[in-house]
This record gives sequence, structure tokens and C-alpha cells, in this order.
Amino acid sequence: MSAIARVQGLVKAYGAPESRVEVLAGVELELAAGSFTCVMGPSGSGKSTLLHLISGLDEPSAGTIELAGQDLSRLSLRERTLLRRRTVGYVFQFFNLLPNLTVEENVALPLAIAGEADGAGAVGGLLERFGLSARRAAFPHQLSGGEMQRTSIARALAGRQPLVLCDEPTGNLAQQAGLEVMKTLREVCDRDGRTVLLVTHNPRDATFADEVRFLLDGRVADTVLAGAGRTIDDVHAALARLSI
Amino acid sequence: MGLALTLAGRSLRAHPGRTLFSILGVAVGIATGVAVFTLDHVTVLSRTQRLEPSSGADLEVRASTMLVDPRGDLLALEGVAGVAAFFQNDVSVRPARAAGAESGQAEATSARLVALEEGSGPSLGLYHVERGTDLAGPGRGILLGRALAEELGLAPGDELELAPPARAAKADCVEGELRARAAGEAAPRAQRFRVEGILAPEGVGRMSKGRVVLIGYQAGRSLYADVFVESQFWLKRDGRVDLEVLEARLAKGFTFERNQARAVGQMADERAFRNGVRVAGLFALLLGLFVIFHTLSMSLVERVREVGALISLSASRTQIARVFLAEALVIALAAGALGLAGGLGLARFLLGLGVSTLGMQYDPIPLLEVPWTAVGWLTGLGVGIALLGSVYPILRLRGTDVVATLRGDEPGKRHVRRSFHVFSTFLLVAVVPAAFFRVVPIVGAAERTLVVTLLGGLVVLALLIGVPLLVPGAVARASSALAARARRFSPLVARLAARNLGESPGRIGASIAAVALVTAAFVGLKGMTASLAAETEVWGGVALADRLLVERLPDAELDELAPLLHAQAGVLGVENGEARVFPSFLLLGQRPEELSGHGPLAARPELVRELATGQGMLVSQRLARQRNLAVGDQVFVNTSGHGVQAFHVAAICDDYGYFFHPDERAYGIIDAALLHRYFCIDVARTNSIAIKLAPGAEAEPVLAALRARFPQAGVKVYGGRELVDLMLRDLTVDFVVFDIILGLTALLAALGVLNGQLLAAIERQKELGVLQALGATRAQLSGVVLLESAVIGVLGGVLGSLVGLGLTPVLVSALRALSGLALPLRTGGIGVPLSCAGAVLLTVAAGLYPVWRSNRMDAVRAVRSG
Repeated sequence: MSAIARVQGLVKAYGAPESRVEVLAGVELELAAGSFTCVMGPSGSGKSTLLHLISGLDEPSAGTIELAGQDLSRLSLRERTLLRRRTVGYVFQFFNLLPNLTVEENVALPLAIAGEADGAGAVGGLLERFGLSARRAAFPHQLSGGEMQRTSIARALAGRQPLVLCDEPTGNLAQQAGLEVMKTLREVCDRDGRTVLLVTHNPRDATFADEVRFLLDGRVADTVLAGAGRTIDDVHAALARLSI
Repeated sequence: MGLALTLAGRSLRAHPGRTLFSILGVAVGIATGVAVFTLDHVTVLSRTQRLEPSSGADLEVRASTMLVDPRGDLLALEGVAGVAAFFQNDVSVRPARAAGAESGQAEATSARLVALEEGSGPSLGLYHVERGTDLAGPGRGILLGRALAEELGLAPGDELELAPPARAAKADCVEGELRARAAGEAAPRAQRFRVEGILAPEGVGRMSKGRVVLIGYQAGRSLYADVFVESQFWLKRDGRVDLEVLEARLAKGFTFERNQARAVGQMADERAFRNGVRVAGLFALLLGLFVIFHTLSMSLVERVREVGALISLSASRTQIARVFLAEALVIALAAGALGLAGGLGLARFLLGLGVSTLGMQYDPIPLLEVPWTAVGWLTGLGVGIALLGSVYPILRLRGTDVVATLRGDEPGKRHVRRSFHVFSTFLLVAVVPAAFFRVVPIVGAAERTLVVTLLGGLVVLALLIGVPLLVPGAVARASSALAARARRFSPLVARLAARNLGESPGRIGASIAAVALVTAAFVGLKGMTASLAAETEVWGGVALADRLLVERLPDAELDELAPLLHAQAGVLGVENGEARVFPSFLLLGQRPEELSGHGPLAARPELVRELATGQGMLVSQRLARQRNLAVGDQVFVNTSGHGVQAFHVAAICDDYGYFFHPDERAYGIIDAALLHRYFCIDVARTNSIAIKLAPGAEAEPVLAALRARFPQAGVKVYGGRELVDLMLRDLTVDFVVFDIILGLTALLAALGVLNGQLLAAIERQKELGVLQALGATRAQLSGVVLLESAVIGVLGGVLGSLVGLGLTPVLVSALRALSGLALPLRTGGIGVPLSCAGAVLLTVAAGLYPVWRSNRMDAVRAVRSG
């Protein structure tokens, strides 16, 4: 399988030289097209930063990121934006739905941003699929947490981008709602053929991924949980081995 | 654009309060500017239309006999833009094409003839040819007024005959007697002219209601070769020199008459008043824009997270910019339309009440004309600056840290706000005033005093607006400390308010600045009006003390009246109110012996002789200041039959000569005998007099004697004190226009505070929800907002009062220089604490809407929001 994203020697540091803090210190990662990868790590380990860098929202201090075959460092801000528009869908912990738009309008937002006027059918299909049809005219503040996140996922799919980046998508949800969201994301990978990169510190969420990697001390650890039949205990054991 | 419009529209609708108050802020600012300019335009227009039509020149000048080359001397004077020699006379006009012209059947009609130096009219703007062509050099061409052309059925190309009138139209006053000018024995010789063009009804074309003919100067001399005509000059003023400055220069060798139609609003005190109104209009516009900038700076931070989400969804910065621009366009255009309509409505309303930029009128003034070009520019200025203020945050988006905003951090918040403050301060202090005065220029010359005062005002403005930038910590600490003092009433409310105030130096500073600006303006205005009132008191103490003004006397003989009054105890003098002419200023004739009982003439008897035998003149303080006259200077007066007479200033004082009708404080007094001799004015009989009493003398016996002498007459008597009180009341009423404008600026400041408090409440809704969840009552939460508002009011009021008190001497000194009034320095008195208290009331009232909004907030939703 070809890689949709490839990260090599990725470094991200903050602060002045004398008080420099390296959040990421040489990350190596490759995301095969159509795969579901989970990156786990403790709070502050740089999980979200990794997503921001891969999506081109942020710029690395060193290293290279290849997204859909293009080296992000060689692209201008505008080119990065256009590449992200074609390639990346985003799901956030706090949903980041626009409060003044309805559910339907939020889902259609990527299409509107891309200037696609004929996406009404696709949006309707997504609303139907995620059980939001009855709530299409509701505003975000009128939704439950699960509904908000389902809207957010529908929005991430609406633009038909091949890569979906999920930043702690269940972090703000109740147990059952979180479970439903993870099932949905798994389906996004299996049914839609999208590549999913999930960052989380929830072991249960990690069981939905094809492969679990661990971010520790700014690097991706060698330990990899891969293959089917992984249980939550396997994840806990790996975390314990890495003292996370 | 669809996405931008959707997002902008939703954002505007989602925050109706913010949208409405932002629109209102700019709209009220624009409306005030539009109203002020329209009010001023209509004020001048209405006064001009009431006056007799005359030429388009500023002054009509006659040379004193001593001058060899008066034209050259005039052109050499600084402040003279152009000079045209002319004379005018009556003329008989007969159409030459009439078949019976030679047989004597065609009837001649009389009209006004103006003979004007060739080629000078259009360049000086004295007339405008609406049909045909202008006079082409010396020759037999003629221009006709529209009314005369229509009456005679003449058009360009027709011919007509002009002839001097058969009899002289005028009589001269020679040695106190009117003598008819000698008429020529022979019948006047008619001359034929060709109509070159028809004059538009303006300038010369308006003279004699359009029944006027204009010919070349040489042709005129030829036509009136046998008749004495006096040459004069029409003079055009250089707009950079004030009228009275030019008049003071002219007075050294010329006599002159003002073209009253062009002098409306141009005198020193009028200019000071009109410029004051304009500055107040600018102040309101600035405050309106300040309100929207303040709102934008607050909502900018509120929306950074939304911007972050859009960027993460791959919206380009151009797309995001379009959202902001669309939103700003809606606000600015709605505000522009509302401001324009509101401004014109306000102008119409104020004019209907008789409010004008030259003081209060007793009758309503119709909205004669809307100066569309200027009000259009003013509206455009407000809209444009509001848009600029909205575009700036878009530019700042380049620096937005998307990652941080997505995380919920806002590290650049302070930086963005700070740079926005710098930008908006630059716009408000430099760009808006410069553009405003380009559209609404200062009336009169840009005198040093005026420029220095304006610059000083702008520095104060910059300091006040810049306070949040310069000392944000100090503002926050002071307001926080003040709020903490309310601990004893409600510890929770005091603690929360103190913390909020301490954490929002930008918001609090901007609100305090707005309140302080308005308070300072009120305190400054009250100081100015108090100084003007004091000046009236001081002047009244000299000119009206122990003085009775008596009107509606039935043609009383002064020779009989004066002894009758002098027979009463305490009567020091009797002055004639009817012996007056207006050669180029008010000139009164008084009997020197009637002035000698008090004032400078009592102290210096030689002045009485100077008046009686030495062509001396007493000059009032105001006339002396207007014409820059000192004792011993010469004053030229154009008389009715004795040419130009030179008088010398014997004394400068206000002790004599003031009458309520006409209410004029710039005048000269000469011996009544000379007034009679030079102008043939009847100085023996009168309908109005002034009686000067000794200090403490009873007025009633004097009045009783008058009533006994004229039992049938409805004699009207004004006491000096009564008149001073009337003037003080008029002064207060005249300044009502400033009170109205400042009232609008107070409304704007309240809107600024309201917006700030409202946005803060929205920003803190999660916190408010948590507090509610923890059991805080609505009264407690309301108390926090109201305490914050009160603190803003107290600090703004105190700061504004201090600044206003500091500004008062500067304003009074500027007004002194501009108006030529001897203003004593006074402060606003009770107006100062009242302004301060008003500031507190205003801000507390402005806090009521945010209180209402926060009380309606859904605590559950607030707690749930991420």
C-alpha cells in the first residue's frame, strides 16, 4: 500500500534557545492509505502537535512531512491550505462546530469552502448515515455531545478527503457516545476507504485501530500493537511496559 | 461570496445586540456630523436669503480723498483677492427693436445700471451669465438681469437703448440739509447697446430683483458723462484672511460696506460658534467610530477560535477575510444609511425648533437645502473608516496562531488587541480629523490660536484613547481597587468585579476613555459658557449698570425731554437711541453734555471738547478690537454729502451708547450735531432713549415722570439688570446646540460602555453559568456588571472632569482669540460635579442591557460549552 502521509525526523520545539522545549524530537511515522492508525501518549506528549504538523496547520522546527506525495516544507501557505482542503478532514475533541450554523450547514461547510455548490445530496446522505437527519436544522448548542461529534465526523467526510485526523474525538464524550463515535470512525476507514489517524489517551479507542503507536519523549516508540483481535488489556499492558 | 455572506449574516443575527449597537455607534456619529453640517449650511443660507440681494463681492469700498491710486493700494493689501471698479445708478431702458422707438410709442422702463470694470466680473465671481456670452472688452455690449429680460422680451442679440434718468435720483446731505442733485438741463442722450447675455439670478444678477443691466465701466462713464457718479470698488476677500482682519486693514484709508449676504457667519464670534459646533460634530463622529473599534477589538478575540476552526477546515485567509469584510460592510452600510437619514432628520428637527449654528432663533427654520456633496462625503468618511477598522483585524489574521486557538489558548490576544488599539488611535487622531476638516473646513482663516487649540485637543484625545495602551496596568489596578471597596456591601460582587476589572485593562480602559472624553467635553463647555456669561456680566456692569432703556416714546423732543428727566434725582445723562447711521459700522450721534455726567467723559472733560469740536469719536471696546483701533487712530466715515470724513478715536469705552435695538456692541459715538451735519439725521426727536442714573438712584420717580409726560403712550422700559439677565438666558439657549451634540456623544459613550460590558458578559458566559450552578443569585451576577459599570463611570467622570478643568483655560483662551471677546476665565462651577455624576448614571444605565442579557443566559448551555 502506498503511504498517504510520511513523517521523517520530525522535530517541533518551542521557546528561546536557552529554554527550548522539544515537544517532538525526531518522529518517524508512515500512514498507509486506507489504514487506521492510533497514536497514544500521555498528556503533553505532542499528539495534537503531530496532527497539526501533518495537516500543515503548523510548521516543524526540523524534519520533513510528505502529504499525498508532496513535501509540505516546499509549499507556500496558500498551497498548504489547498492541499489540506483536498487531503485532510479534521475531527476535534471540542468539535469546533461553528455556533451560528445549523448541523446541515456545518456539515456542508467544507464543500462551501471548496466552492462546490452541488454537494446537497452528499450532505443529505451523510446526515442520514450519522442519524442527524432529524437534527439537520438544529444549532450546535441544541445537540448532545455525541451528536456534535457525529456532526463533526460528517463534516470531516463531506469534503471526501482521503485522510481523517482525529484529535481525542471521544475526550469530551460520555462512555456510550464515545463508543459510537469510535465505531463510526472504524466504519469510515472500512466502508469509505479513508485513512484515519487517531490520537488519544483512551485505551478503549485504541482497540479500534489497525495499528497502535506510542509517542514517548518526543519520539514514536518502537513498540507497535498491530493485527486483529487486540483487546483493551493488550493496550494497557503496552502502556504499562512503556510506563505511560 | 456565498459562504462569506452566510457566515457574516449568521454572525450578525446570532448577536443582535452587538450588531445593533455597533450600527448605532457609527450611525449616531455619522448622524451628528451630517446634522451639524446641514444645520450650519441651512443656517447661513436662511440668513443670506433674508437679506437684500447685492453683488457677489465681499465689500463695497470707497477711497478716502487722500489716496492717489486707490486701486493699486487695494490690490497691495494683504487679504484682497481681487478688485473691480464700478459705479451704479438708475437708468432708463427702452428696447430698440420696438417699431415705435423713434416715434416715441415704445415705453421706457427704469432699472438699475451697474458699470463694471471690464473683464473683472466673472473672475471675482460677481455674476454668472446663464444665456449668451459675457461682455467682450470695452464696447456696446450689455448683460441683462433675467427679470428685466423677461419683462422686455429681450434675448441675446437684441438691441436696446439706455439713458440716464431724466432727473437725478438722489439728494445729498450738505450742512445738515438734504439738497437735490442738480439735474442736467438737456434731455438725457440715449445710447444703443447690444444684449450679449442674460445674467443668472445670483450676485449682480440678483440686484434689484433681476431688474438690472450690466455694462462696461468705460461705456458707463460715456453714458453718464454729464452726471456726477462716484467711483467705488467691489472687493473680493482672500478666504485665508478673516473679514474683520481685512476690514481693519482697509479702515486705514478706505470706507466700506459689508455685503451682508456674504458676511453671514463670517464674523469673529460667529466663526468661533460655528467652528465650535463643527468640532463638536467631529468629536461625535470620533466617538462613534471609537465605539465600533472598541466593539471590534472585543469581538476580534471572541472570534479568533472561529477563525481557527475555519482555517483547520482549509478555508483560505481570503475566504475568512471575506467573512469579516461582508460583516463589516453590512454594519458600515447600514450605519451609513441610518446615519445619513438620522442626521438629516435631526437637522430638520433642530431647525424646526429654531436651533441654528449661530444661536437659537425664535422661529422655525425650514430645511431649505441639503448640502448633498458634503453630507455624502461625511457619510462616506464614517463608512470608510468603520470599514478600515474592520479590515485591520483581517490583516492581523496573518499572525493568528491557529494551533493555539484550536487548543483554546489565545497567546496573541493581548498583542492583537494592542496593535488594534494603536491602529484605531492612529485612525481616530490623525486620519479622521484630517479627512473631516477636508470635507467640513474650518470657517475663516486657520489662525494660529485655532490650529494650536485643535492640535492640543487632538493630543488630549490621543492621550485619552491611548490610556489603555500606555498604562493598562494602572487603569486595571485603579478600577480593581475601587471595586474592591464595595466589599462591605457584597464581598462576592466586589471580589468578582474587582477581578474582572483587573483582568480586562483594554476593555475597561477604552470604556473609561470614552466616558472621560465626554465628561471632559461637558466640563470644558460649561467652563466656556461660564466665561461667556462672565464676560456679559463684566460688560453689563459697565454698559448697562444703572441704565434704563426706554422705547416707544411718541416722537419726543429731546430738548424738552432731557430737562424733564434731569429734574429727577440721580439722572446723570439722557442718550438718543434713534440718532444712528450705518456707514460701515453702527455710528451713533449723542450730545456730549449728556455723556459728561459719568464715565470717562466725567473724569476727563477735555474729551467732551474733542467730541464737540475736534471730530472725536468714542469707540466701543468691541469695535476697537474688531478694527484694531487705539486712542488717536483715525476712523474714516463715508458721509452722505461731505465725502469721506476722518474722525479720531478720543476714547475706547462701553459706558455710553448701548441700546437694545439694534443689539450691537460694536459701535462708535460722535457728536449728534456732526451726525446731523453729515447725514441729515434728525437728532432732535426720538422714540427711544437711554437714561443713566447715579449708582443707587431710584428708577421709579424717573419713570413716573415719563409716564406723566406721555400718559397715552405704551412706553416700554428695560432695566439694565433685566437686559443682562435676558442676555445670559439667550446665551444659555444659544448653546443648546452644543448640549444636544454633547448629549449625543454621551449616548455614544454609553453605547461604548454597553458594548464592552455586553461582550464581556458573552465572553464570561461559561463563568457566569458556573457561578449560577454554584448558587449565585441573579442579583449577585447583576451586581457584578453594575458595579463594574459604576467604577467605569466614577473613574471616567473623575478623569474627564480633571481633563476638562485643565482644558478650560485653553478653550477660553482660544475662544478669546477667535471671537475677539474679553473673556474672563471661569470654570463650569456646579456643572463639573454634575457632569461627573452624570457619567456614573450614564454608565450604570449602560450596564442594564448586559445585565438583562446575562440574566437570560442559559446556565446549562453555558456550562456545557467547550
